[in-house]
Amino acid sequence: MRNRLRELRTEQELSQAELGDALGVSRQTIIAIERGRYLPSLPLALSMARYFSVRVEDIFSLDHKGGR
Amino acid sequence: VNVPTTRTRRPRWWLTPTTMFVLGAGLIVASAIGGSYGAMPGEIVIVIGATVLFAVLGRRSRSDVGAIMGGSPDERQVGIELRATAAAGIGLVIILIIGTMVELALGHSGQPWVSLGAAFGVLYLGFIFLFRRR
Repeated sequence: MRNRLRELRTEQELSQAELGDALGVSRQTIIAIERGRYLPSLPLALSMARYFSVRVEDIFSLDHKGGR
Repeated sequence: VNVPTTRTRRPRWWLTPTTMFVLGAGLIVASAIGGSYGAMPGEIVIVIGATVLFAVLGRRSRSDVGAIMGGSPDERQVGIELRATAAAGIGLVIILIIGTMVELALGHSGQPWVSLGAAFGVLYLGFIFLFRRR
């Protein structure tokens, strides 16, 4: 699984802590998601999409191999 | 932009240290009832030390450990907590099995290890049946 969270966050000039506060998660969790070490729940992924006004699949996408 | 939070609980940094203190006080009272007065000073130091440690960790809610100890973990930290609990449970089962083997090898009945292992097994199966319905 790949994601564009860092890209979207930096476009909005947000720190990881600010995004975490906005989404109700810790800065460590934002870091883990950006690094691909943690897959967020569907509610959190939907919250991210709503926050950035994009679709979930604009943030998260499967690798070419189709795996996680 | 206002979005729904994924935090599962309100911060309650005092919950874990208070629980530690109450349980520790219970152990100290039990020691006193059993007449083990000699161990009480050490027990009091351990209980107070653990209470202070967990209170400090719980107030550092910006860290993973602080959030988990403080009762306000987000979904990833809840996952960490669950995996840690499961790993500790597996460790405990290994200790129970080894304890049972040692007791049996010494020619004893295997108690209380056998009963504890049986209790674990019953609880484990019970929770599997309970959680599969949710």
